[in-house]
Amino acid sequence: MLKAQGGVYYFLSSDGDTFQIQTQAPLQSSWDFNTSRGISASIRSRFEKTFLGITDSVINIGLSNGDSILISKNYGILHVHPFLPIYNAGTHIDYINDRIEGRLNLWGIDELIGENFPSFEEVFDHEIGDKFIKDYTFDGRHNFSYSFFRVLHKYTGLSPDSIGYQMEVERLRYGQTQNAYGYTGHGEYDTLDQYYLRSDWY
Amino acid sequence: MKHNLIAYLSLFLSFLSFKQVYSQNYQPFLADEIYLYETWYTNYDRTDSIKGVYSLRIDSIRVL
Repeated sequence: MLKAQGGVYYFLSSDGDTFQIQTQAPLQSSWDFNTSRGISASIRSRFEKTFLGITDSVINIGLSNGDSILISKNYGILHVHPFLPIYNAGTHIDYINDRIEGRLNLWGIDELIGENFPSFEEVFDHEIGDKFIKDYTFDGRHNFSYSFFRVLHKYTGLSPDSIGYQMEVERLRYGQTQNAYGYTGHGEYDTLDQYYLRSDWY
Repeated sequence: MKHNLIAYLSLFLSFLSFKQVYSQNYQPFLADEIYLYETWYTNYDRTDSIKGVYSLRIDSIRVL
């Protein structure tokens, strides 16, 4: 992020794109928000807003593509559209090119407001008997495969940087059988050890 | 004279309040890391949803 005079901020993305936010521009005067996509911006209004239990002064920046950004005086961004693809669960989610509806809202800032991001221990805190689908694949046509996991045992005495479970896994395929679509077979069962490492987590 | 003084004082106070409104420095980020959530609908008619939380970190801040 580059911070210039007069409340002007430039955000430089890893792929060379630049997004410009102006926080002190006069109401309704516009600037180039992102030249490569031809998006302009202007401050539409300033108002008081209540969020996460507090009230603060907020500016509403309207964009020419129909999106908007809300920035509060004391907590920064409240509302923003994802302008770059997000890598999530092994998938690239490209909000603009794939025309996906998306809106990010402030969840929290450490020791300041809202809630914290879940920790490694909180996310991988499974109980014996917990069931979930962990793997899912789709061949792009009509065939899916799922892996259903059930926690059998939690390993103790590991280092603080790892959490381990013994799990039963059932793999099921859904796709075309001879005359119709359905689950093919009764699935394949297996038992495996699953270790989560702190270094893999965020 | 007294009226003029009050008028000047009033003008000065208006100027101060004007400055206060327009010098408000809204900053997009007041921390290196913030958390943002997105609503993910889990059924077709959008009556059930969960929240996906993202961590957004600023790699570096340079002042021009």
